[in-house]
Amino acid sequence: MAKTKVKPVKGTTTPWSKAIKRDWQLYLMLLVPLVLVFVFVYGAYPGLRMAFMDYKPAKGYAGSEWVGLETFRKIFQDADFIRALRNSIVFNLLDLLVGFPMPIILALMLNELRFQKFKKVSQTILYMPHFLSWAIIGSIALTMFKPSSGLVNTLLMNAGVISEGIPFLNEKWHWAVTYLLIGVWQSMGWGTILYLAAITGISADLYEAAMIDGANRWKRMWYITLPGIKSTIITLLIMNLGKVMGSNFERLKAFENSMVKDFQYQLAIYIYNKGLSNQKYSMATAVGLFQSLVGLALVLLTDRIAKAMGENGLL
Amino acid sequence: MFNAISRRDFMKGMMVGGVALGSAGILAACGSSSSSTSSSSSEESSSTESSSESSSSTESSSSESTETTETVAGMEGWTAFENTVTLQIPVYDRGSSSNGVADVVDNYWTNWIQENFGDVYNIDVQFVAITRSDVMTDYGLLAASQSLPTILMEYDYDKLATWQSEGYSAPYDIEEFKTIAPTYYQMMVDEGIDSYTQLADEDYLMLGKRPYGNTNYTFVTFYRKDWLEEAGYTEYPSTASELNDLYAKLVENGHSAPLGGTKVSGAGIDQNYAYRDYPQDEETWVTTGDYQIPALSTEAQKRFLKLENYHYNQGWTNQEYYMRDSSEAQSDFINGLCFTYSCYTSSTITVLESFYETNPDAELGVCVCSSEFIEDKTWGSNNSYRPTNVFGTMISRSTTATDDEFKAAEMYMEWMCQEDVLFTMQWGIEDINFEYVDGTPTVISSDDSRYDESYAQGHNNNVDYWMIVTASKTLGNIEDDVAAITPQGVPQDFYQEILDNYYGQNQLYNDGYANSDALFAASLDSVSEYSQTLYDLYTEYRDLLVMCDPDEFDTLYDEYSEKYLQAGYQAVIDERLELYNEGLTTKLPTA
Repeated sequence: MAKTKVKPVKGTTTPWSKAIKRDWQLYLMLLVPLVLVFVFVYGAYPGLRMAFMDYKPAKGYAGSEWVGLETFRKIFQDADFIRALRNSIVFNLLDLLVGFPMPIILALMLNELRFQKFKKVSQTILYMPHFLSWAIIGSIALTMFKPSSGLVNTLLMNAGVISEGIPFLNEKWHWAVTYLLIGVWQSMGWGTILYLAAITGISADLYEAAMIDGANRWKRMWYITLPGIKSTIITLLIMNLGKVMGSNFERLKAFENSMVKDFQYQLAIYIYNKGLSNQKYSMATAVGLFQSLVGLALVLLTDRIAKAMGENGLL
Repeated sequence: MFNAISRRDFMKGMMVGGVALGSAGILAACGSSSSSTSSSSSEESSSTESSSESSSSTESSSSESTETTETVAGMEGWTAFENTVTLQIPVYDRGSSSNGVADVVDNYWTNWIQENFGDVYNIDVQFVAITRSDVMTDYGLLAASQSLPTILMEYDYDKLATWQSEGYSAPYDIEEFKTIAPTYYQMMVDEGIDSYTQLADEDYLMLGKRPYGNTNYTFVTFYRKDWLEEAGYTEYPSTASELNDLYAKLVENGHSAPLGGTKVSGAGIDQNYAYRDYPQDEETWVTTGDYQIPALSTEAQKRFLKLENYHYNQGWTNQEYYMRDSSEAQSDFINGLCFTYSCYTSSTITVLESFYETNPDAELGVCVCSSEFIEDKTWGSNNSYRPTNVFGTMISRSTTATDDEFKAAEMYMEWMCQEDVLFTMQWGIEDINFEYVDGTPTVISSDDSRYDESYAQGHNNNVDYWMIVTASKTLGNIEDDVAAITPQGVPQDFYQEILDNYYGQNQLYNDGYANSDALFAASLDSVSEYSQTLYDLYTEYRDLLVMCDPDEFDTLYDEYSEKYLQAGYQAVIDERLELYNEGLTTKLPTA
């Protein structure tokens, strides 16, 4: 369908000076995040030049040598980088696969709860893991899932269910499952907020009409609620796809041990170990830039696909 | 990474160091190059050169400070700075592994320094916390934010060399240093370490001393003597095979996993000095004999890991050791679950105090190094150890320091070097931290009513503050020095065992069964390039080797060694060998 550009009717738009005067408090509030974005996001952009230099902190930008794409060449020849890249992509896709639907399902379930107090308490309990740091979660996981002395294995062994501890954290395949599920547990409650907010925007008349037509709960969820939050789902999916190249250092560090390095060694660990600990800031910046560019490309691509499918997209 | 010091100065330094340690043979071929620096003597240290004249012209106004130092060297010639000068001194923050003050940058002793030094000379002394386990990262971040402290300090030569090559440190005027800090400089001369000041043909380093540097007697291993006796032993076993027999008996007696165990981390992991063949093959020693990069692929490392593998498979090592950190090792020992505990000894060891509280009937002993070289043919092990350097802390001027700030740093070093200041920093306040017993200072333990927590010293009797002068406190003879670092306030006295351990190590060193690591006279790019990669790989491979089926050990060792060599270790070996062949390394002492 061809888009029609709507021309504002003369005299109906508010001049910006008047708008600011009228809503200055709102603009003032907007100023804070804008300043933060400029200082901490755009302000850091000049530092990206490090990726193209042999950057020496003590010599600064002026004293460091330009090396072109040499750092990138070195990175892509580094077997550790390839391992970290592979693991990051695989685990982020798995995170997306396992973690993305969970908040949607949870939001649908919460929306169906009729006893409001129970709903509120459930929501609060589900949100809480989001406020725990990964260091604490890692520590709890260690106490719970250590192979021979962890709480879960001890209980299972005492109950006679297993004869030796399940290597939740020290065998790479078990670790992968534990890592992913704990990630889902930590984030799914918080993720429901946006969906629940979107659900509240769905007209109650639709539900009423559906009920009159005899639609049961499943039908209402499937034909009203889900389509009602479809655009939110797509927006969040696009944003999450942008994180496929991302890597959460705290989460990986919290679940680190030498038995699972095959999977645990991801880009954040690579950047920290080789870039920061080894003072190779150019390398760290180059990897960071690579992550950002791939992430941006994925967002743009997904956005284009979403639009091609008739959705609004993100941009 | 090692850096390029000039060959001439390097050789000269090695020779003087060798003489200082009595290790004849170190770079014997290079004697002719001794010249300018080592000839620096006490006459020069009393130089009357104006400090303001010798300062380089930077933006800071040297004219504002110490105007009356024209002719008088040392503290006598100092006056207060006209405008307050900020002096930033790095200090290790040891976190939870520390026995001492919680806040290393603001405590009684930092305030004492400000009052007794800073306020007198109008210097604002600020301490910059450096994470002990992550020194390079901390300095790197400080450099990146252009906020390096006035001076850089570290025990490891290669770190200073890296900072020099990376531009963190700047050369200094040694003549000015002699004038401002004559006592300090004289100490360097007296210790024979004044010849190590140069990097890349310029004076970069000021060096603290390291008493008894040919031993590491301050690092002590405590063991459960009561368990030993319970197992029918009267003496601590002297070989790996005998120890294995003991461990088996300990397990029989109900002490499961008596070796405890934690994951490896940080520099100097899995040292193989006690698994090498002595006398050492010089080429192997130069190429793989350091402690910075674990020597996977060598025979010595194989022996070490094979024994670790045996311990693990026997169940003597905690089966989850790779998921445990050092605090858990402490807990194990305190809770009576583990046979040994190793740490640097000092008059106050809180772990020992906690141990005796938890195990009031327990008896401990200290592992003593035999003065005889003892080998175990079965495991290829022996009783050798790693001697340290001839010098202690190395100090360098930061590139961001102004002349006045660096002058304040030189004054600080000189002030800290004064006998009364150093004594107070090391011993504390009389009748609170220590008392005189028969004329000898003796530490007052923390459970004594006179002890006051608000005067608590930092880690190891404030070592992180006075390390700028010396690596360990000394009263002039080993007997008194051992007495000073013997744990107090605990039911047992370990003085004789710690002393015997020193004598044993000293004898082994003199007999050539312990050798300091090789030093290199040129930069090693491969070390800088691959050290982190190799460290990451090693921590992974060594655990796989320790936990593998003993029958698979040899095959896996070869497999991982090959990968390790390909990942960069071969490049490190090749580059070291190249320098060795060019005569740019230290040599082993000749018999």
